Amino acid sequence: MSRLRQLFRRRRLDRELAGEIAAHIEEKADELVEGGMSREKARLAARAHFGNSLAVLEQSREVWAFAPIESLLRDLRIAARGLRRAPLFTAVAAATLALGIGANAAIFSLIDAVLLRPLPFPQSDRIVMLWERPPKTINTASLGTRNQQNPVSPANFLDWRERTRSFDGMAALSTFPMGLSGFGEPREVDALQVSAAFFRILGVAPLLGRTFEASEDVPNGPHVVVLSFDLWQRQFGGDKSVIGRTVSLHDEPYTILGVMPQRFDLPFDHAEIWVPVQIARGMPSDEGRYLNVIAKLKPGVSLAQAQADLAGVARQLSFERPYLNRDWSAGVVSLYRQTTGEVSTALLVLFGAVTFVLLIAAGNVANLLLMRGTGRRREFALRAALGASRSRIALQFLAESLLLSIAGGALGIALAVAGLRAIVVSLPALALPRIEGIAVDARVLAFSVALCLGTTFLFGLAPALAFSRTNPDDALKQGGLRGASRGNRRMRGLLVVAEVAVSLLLLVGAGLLGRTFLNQTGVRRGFRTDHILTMRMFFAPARYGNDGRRARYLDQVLARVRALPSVEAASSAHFLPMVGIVSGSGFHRMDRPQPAPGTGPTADYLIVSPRYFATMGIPFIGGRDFNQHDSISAEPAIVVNQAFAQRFFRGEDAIGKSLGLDWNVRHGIIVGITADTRQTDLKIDPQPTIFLNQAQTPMYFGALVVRTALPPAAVASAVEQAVHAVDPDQAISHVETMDQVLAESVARPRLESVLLGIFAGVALLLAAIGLYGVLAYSVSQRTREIGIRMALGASSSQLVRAVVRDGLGLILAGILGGLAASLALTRLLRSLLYHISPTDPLTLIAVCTLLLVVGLLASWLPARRAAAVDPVGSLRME
Amino acid sequence: MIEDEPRSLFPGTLEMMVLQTLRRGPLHGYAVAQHIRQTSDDLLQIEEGTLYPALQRLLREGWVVAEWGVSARNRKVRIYKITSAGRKQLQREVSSFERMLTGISRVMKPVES
Repeated sequence: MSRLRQLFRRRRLDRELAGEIAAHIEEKADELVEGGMSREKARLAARAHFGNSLAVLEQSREVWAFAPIESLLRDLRIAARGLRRAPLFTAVAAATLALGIGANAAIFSLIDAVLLRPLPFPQSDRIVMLWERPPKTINTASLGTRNQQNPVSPANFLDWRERTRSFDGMAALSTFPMGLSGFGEPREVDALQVSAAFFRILGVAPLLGRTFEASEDVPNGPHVVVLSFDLWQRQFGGDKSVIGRTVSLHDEPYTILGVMPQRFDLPFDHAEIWVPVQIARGMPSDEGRYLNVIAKLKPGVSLAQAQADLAGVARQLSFERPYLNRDWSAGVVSLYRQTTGEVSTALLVLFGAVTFVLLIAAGNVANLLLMRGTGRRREFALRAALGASRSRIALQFLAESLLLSIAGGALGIALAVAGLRAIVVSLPALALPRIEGIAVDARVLAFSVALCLGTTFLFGLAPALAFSRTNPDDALKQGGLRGASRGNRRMRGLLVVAEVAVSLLLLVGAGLLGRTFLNQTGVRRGFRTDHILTMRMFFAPARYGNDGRRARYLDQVLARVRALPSVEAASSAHFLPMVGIVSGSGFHRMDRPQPAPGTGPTADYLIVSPRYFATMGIPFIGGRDFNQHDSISAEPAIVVNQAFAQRFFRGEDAIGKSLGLDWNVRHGIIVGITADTRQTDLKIDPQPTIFLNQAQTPMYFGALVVRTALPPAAVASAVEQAVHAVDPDQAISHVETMDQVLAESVARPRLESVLLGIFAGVALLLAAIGLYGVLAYSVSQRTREIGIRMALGASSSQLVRAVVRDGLGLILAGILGGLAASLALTRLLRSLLYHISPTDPLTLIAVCTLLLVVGLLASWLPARRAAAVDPVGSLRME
Repeated sequence: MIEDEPRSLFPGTLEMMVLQTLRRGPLHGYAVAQHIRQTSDDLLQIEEGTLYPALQRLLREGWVVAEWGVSARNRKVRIYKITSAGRKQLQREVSSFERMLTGISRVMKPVES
């Protein structure tokens, strides 16, 4: 307390102390005069004896002040004054830092939300996902990078649950949309069928009511449902009396058991309601592989132990049910890796990129400070001569840096907030897992503050040390100011070389990702996306449980849609292209001996309505489309694609051949062959595909595809009305154009390449500014030398060449360094690239050329200034 | 280059000497400096200025108090007086200083074989 009071009494203390010191010196002088010295001499001697009175005052003051805070505040005040006097320098430096810090804060928030935060479940490190692993003989290319993660059949799930010893609970999950009605507009909600253990594994208790009992999770068990917080709020207004009431799902009454807390959800299987999965042995569909499985490791059981345990059981099953499981195995992956695995590489690459951008920004600001410092050497020398200690000068330099990074940091955070909003808006739901948790929050702010402090030292320390070493004698001598010290110049040159190298690395990365994106979108898709409207629906089993009825229902819907004036063609598919999913199953040629169960070939299966190919612009190579004669009672017709025909009927005519199918229709005749299309993802080549007719094997869900003459969005409500004219209770979801579906499928690679492109562009710009700054500064420092040269007869083109040569040296050194770094580092991008090598020569050459051109431009501008020097004027200077 | 503090003395030594000097009676700053120089036979050539930060530290700790007075040469000066807390502190410092000196002299003594 008393010290605080002293802080305010400082002024008086200062005055008193100054008086006291003066008295001391006078006393001393008096004494010396008494000893026979002249008054003049005595005064000087007394001063000398006393030492530096300013320093004494300063040190005495520090005794009283909250010394560190006090001197920091003073340094900051002086620094702020200095920065205000140099607005251009301040603006450039702060903007540079804002770019660096903003980019880092934005990417860090992404990484924090997606990768760093633990999953929102207790002991989430023990939660795992279990998958079946298909044998190598099965073509799982359509699963893409997840081709070792096949969903699980109910029969296998039940055996895994019974026989494994490593798990403390195992739950099956199956996601499907359900029509929720009885509350205004019929709505399709995302439902997740789950085992009773689901909630226990995730360890989250309901907010209201209860979750399922194991006794309710049995075939023909009760119709019960648990609601998500959001649905409860939206549909029921948060009414607590909903527990025990019934809702209508797919036209059947379900009793509401409970409500889960807000934000309870799985990162990949989003759900608005949960119902019991109610599977058991002997169910008709217990051998189809369609379940996701989560489990909780017993305490102390490692992932490897669990893997061995599960693989052992899977091996037993492959012998017990060879027709289903021959050569199949099983795998365990942590829920965290499952959630983040696909995006972590991209995010870490981006994080690396923004770190580099920040380094370049810090390099530039260090350069600016070095230049500014060189111009201020006399000021520092004067300070030192007046008694400022070396640490005092260094601290003051750091205070200036600190102010700059605080200003840059504040601007940067604003940039990050705006940037993140743009990123989130540009991404379709679920393209980045857990993106909904993203925010510039305390953690991100803390990270940014740490970043500011870190960069302060990064760019402030070198100049601070360089200038606190200033020798007052040298610097104060007339002319001693001219020509920055050689060490200083070399440091600036090195900074520029490093900046060029790093920006080359970023440009190469951006170039590779950009080319990947172009390769991906430029690939032959095989179907058109323009003027096509899509919407998805689920056919309620209560109304359409009968196969014939279901088939007729969709026929009626399509007939109505086709009758609309602006509709050119309409059809359906059970999975749209580019949504990442397709069915797959086995088949065999009927004209060949039937292979042993589980050993036959496999193909993708797509169930479509007649005129699907015409609607999507997929040409027929031979044969015909499905037509009205292919009814549910007729022999099933099959259309295959060219990849299928070439692979399984090489050199033969596939049309007219019969196939045996592992599907609910067991056989059919090939009636047509279409051109190849990409189905699940643009990156995945066309796969051998069997198309079946929705009318002959009616699915419970499907997507309408409607080709229109008008812009598709204009027709959307008319199509929805046509559907509701057939069934007013039909829930419809995902009303999108095919162009949108396609754009969403490449939203993430596009974002990655755009972000990396922006960062690389910023890096290039900063490096160019850095190069320009160094050369321009050196020209301005060497005005006199240039003037002398001109006076001695150097032509202006010689001078331009001399300066550009300096710049070129720096650029070439940077390019060499950057190339070496690129060759070493772009390997890390490999998993993100498509049809391009990480050391693609074209990209490397293009990037080097770009850097060279930009670099030469940045050198040429100051060179021209050198040539414009007026020799007479420059020699008169100073 | 000017150092923040003279390093020729052990930290705190100057304060100890000032307290020791003031034990004999109140003095103003110049007189304290004189006394220290004379009693040490000019062995300790401190820059007189360094006395003042030391006095400020002693004031801050409450080991001395100061009031305005008049010097023998009739100048307005601050007279410093040791407090009882200052005396106690001096006691403590002297004993720990002696312990340290004993330790040093043991180390410095030539080894007898």
